[in-house]
Amino acid sequence: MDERVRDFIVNGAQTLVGLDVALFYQANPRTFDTAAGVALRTHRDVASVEPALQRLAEQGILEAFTRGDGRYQVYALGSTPEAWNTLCLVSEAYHDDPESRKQIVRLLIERKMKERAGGAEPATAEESPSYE
Amino acid sequence: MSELVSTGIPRMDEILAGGLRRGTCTLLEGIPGTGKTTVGLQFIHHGAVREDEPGLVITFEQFPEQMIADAARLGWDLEGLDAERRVELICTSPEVFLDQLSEVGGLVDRMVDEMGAQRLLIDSASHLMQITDDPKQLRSLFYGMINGIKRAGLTTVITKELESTTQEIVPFEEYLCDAVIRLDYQLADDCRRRRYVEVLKARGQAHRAGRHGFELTSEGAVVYPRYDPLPREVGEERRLTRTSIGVPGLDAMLDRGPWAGSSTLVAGSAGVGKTTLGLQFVCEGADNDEPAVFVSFEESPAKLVRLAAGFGLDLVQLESEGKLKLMHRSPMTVNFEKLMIELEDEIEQMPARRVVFDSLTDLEMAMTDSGSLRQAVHCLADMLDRHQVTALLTTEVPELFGQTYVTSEHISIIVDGIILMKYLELDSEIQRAVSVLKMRGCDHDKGIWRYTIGDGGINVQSRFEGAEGVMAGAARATTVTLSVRSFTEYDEQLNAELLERFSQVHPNVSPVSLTIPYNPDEVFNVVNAAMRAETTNLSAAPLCLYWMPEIIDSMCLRAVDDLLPPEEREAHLAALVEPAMRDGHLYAVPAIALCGVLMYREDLLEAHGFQDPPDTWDELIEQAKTILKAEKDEDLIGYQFPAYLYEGLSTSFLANLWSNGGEVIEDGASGLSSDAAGAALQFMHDLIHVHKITPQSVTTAAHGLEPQEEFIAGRTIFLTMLPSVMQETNRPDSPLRAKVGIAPSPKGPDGDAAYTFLGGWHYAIPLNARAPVAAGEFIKFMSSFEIQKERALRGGPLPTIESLYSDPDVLAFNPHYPLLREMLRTARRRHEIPHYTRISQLMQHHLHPVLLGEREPSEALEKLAEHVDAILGEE
Repeated sequence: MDERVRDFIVNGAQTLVGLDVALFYQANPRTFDTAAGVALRTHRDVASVEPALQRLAEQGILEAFTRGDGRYQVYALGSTPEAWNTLCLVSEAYHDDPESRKQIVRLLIERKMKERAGGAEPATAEESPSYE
Repeated sequence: MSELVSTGIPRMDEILAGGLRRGTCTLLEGIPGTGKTTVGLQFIHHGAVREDEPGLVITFEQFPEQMIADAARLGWDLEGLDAERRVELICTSPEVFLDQLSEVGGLVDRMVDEMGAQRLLIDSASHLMQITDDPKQLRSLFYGMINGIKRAGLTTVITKELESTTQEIVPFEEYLCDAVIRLDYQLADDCRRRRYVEVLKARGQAHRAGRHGFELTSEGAVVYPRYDPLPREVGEERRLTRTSIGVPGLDAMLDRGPWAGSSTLVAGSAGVGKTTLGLQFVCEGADNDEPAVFVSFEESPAKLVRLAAGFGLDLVQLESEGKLKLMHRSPMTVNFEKLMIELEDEIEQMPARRVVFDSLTDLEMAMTDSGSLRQAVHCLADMLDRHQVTALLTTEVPELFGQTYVTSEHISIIVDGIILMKYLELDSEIQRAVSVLKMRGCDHDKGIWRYTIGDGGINVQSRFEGAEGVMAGAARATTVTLSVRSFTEYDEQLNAELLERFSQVHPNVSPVSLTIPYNPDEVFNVVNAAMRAETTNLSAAPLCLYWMPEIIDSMCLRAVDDLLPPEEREAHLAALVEPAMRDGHLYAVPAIALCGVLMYREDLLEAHGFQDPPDTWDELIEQAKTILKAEKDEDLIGYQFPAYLYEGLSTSFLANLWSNGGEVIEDGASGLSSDAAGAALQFMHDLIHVHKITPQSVTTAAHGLEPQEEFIAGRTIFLTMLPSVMQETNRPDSPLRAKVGIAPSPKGPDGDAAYTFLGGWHYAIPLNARAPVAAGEFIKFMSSFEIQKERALRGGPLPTIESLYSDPDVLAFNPHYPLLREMLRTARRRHEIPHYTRISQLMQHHLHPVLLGEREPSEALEKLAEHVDAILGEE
């Protein structure tokens, strides 16, 4: 598996929901929606989608826009080529390479297990590297 | 910038009166699968590609990538347009969109600024219910959205899902939007659906209301506007000509064929030949520079080509020459509105003058409800009429025998004509019958005719005469009564024998001898009246040669080529066959020949020293005077000729005129002022009033009958009359038997030869004859060699078959026949004088007073010449 993919999975996506959201934006780069909207389209819980969106936005994968006089945020694909390239690499590894896909899932499960065991920090936005 | 925005959907703009109004919101509603998103994307794609109007797509549910993929399958590169920023697809939530719409510098404002968006597709408004299900709030949200869009100046299509096509509550969106277009997808029957589009509303636009055809094709949506018959202008120009249907017998039944631009329904059960008739119809059109479109449902083009080839018709060749277009559509999938447009396009492009629509029964399958078939046929007939296309529309009737109705849905009142083709049982055989039930503006045949389908296609053969119950499908034989004139009326025994013999050969025909006036002028009135009637019993009409051309030109007769085929015509005197021909067809069969001859008492001439009959007028006068003086018989008359007020008077004058070197018309003007004409009339006058060898009574002798009787009784020396008088004197019981000679009429001082007139009677069959088949049989019988010979042997009228004039049996009874044949050969044809019937009447009017001694010959001829010149001047 490509190191850039591994790095994104471990430090960017961090969770399965994070991976879902990333793959969703890769498949639907024209999405401009709120966490609730994205949760609806990915059929995930808003409570887990929103931190994932924030994390990806902070890493430059997505871009967050504060709208409605600060009442809500909408998220769109990050405007840099690097962000798009990263998502494409991840999508390729996940969809086109069964071995990589297994490794991706394994990495995320291991991270979740560690997190439960207290060996890993809960997935947050602040500690992730920036892709901007 | 145009006020109207093209939708890009073929013909959608047509029903929208030009397109969508710029800056307005259009609601595009429909149940799932009706094509709302496709139409919306087509609107956006067309704007970006064709109109230089970038577009924005907001999707609340369907992912843009899916839309891009779907559009790519229709040939629209949205991804490429997106890259060029001519189209922008955004997937978002309704609340985000509404919020962005209201925000200064929000998403919509930014798109308008950055990419110059002019078009917007929102897919779909139904998702606003995600925000609230309160109707008041929902309406408020929608109202706000529309206002926001309008503020941005975008021309917008908003899709909306309908839960049902029959919903009774009108959605509030329909009130708020400027235009409402509904897409429908209805069940046509148990297994098929048909698409429709309807503009329910279009503010400020004279849109075409009602449902129109709609299809989703591999290139996107297409609209097929419904054909709307419009009121016609008074005084619209029409083609007032007849067209041949391609089957001569049927053309005759239709009084020379259907009117150009008319629609005729051809009804019949399966296999009666409706399609075959259609093929003959289009091929006839191709031969007459009238290209045709043949619309078929059941028969594929290959089948039609094969079927036509069986009749010697080459459809492939006609198609390659652009004279024919075969349009085949499946009755299971045909869209009527689409078919109408395609058919009209073909008619305009060719341009076609004929159409066959085979069949309306198949079209019925394409209709969603039974009532719409009538509307469809009405539209079809109107469109064909508008283009003045002559059309045959076929329809199948379910009953094999004894049809009780022709069409369903009262279609018969829409079309101009109806031809019914059917099977019937007669003489233990299945036969085919055709009849014309209706043909507007046409005195069509009312009979039921037998027809066959052979190598040449449909061939109408003979009328079902002597049969009843034909329409019910099971015919029964009956007797036909035929009113006839046999030309042997003066010999009642022979007449009765001939009619009896005919009946023996044709047991179903009962000929009744008809009393017809002797005077041919009166016969003309009888025949003319009979042909103007709806039907006539005068099925074998007698035509006198001198007015026969006028009757033939009136187009009231059937062609009778089959009664006397070309190879048999040669046996008849050519001078009698030629005037019966028109455009290569024979319209009358020669029955008897006539000419005027001089009959004289051989015994009296010989007794008074005259070896030969008179050759000149002077000799006639001299011989008559000499014999009268010597005989001292007060009852004996010198010379008689037709001088009564009838056509015979004209023939008397003409014979003297021609025999004195004169003509009625010379160099296009009257020749009646000539010295020859003056001498001829003076001669006739002097016979009565100067030489007194002709009694004054000839001028009052009805139809010349009395002079004949006086000659036969032995009281006249010379008689100019028809040769039948001579034959009467040859009877065994005649006191003049073997005492009468025959000679040409004497010639005048300025004549080089003696001329007589050619006469004769023909038989013809009027178009309105009640029993044309029986009449045909009677005509063949009476004009046959055998009957003509028998009549000649028994003193009947002169035959028209030339060989009988040298037949040994006939010569034994009529030794003068060779002389008569020579006279017939040189006889003048008065029917070739232009306007002869009118001129003849004028002659009688002006010349009769001269013979009465009431007017001078020169004065009469001067007046007559003025009238003749006036008639000639009319041309």
